[in-house]
Amino acid sequence: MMKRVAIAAVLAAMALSGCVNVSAPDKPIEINLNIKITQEVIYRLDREAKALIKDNPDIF
Amino acid sequence: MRMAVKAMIAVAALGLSGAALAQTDWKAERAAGRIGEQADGYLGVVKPGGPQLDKLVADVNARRKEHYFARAGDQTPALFAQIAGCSLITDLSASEMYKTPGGAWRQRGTGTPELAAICPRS
Repeated sequence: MMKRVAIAAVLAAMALSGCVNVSAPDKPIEINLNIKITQEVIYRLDREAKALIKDNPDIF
Repeated sequence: MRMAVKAMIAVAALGLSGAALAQTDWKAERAAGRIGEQADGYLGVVKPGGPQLDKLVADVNARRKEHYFARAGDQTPALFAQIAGCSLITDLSASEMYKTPGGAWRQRGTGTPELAAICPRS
């Protein structure tokens, strides 16, 4: 789980820095898809988390 | 002390559980720097403060866990909790404590906190 998160974080950082170095050349398309999904997922979770925190001031 | 007793009677009369009153105490503990926000989205004890403090932290964390699991959607609750942790740490006031990704307790201060790499930059 943590390894997946770490890989996703590295891929996201690579995407945000504007360069994509494919270190696993056997699956380039899969990596590109993962970058798009990860960015979208993080931002969506962030919006959800901020709403959750706002809705529950007694525990957040 | 009498005010506290009156307050507890009022709360009991309203039918709320005593736990609801006690849980807002955790914010005072966080403001005092005895407990702090962790990168995983949960509270932690900064320095040993006895079993009652541990129980307070465990109770709040249990309720947070319920929400993380309920609203994670198709993502893992741990990831959702981590993302929540990003906001929780960022929103701390300067004198409050948080745990860095490396595991050290640090005061929030006024600058950018040291967050996990996965936290969105805003």
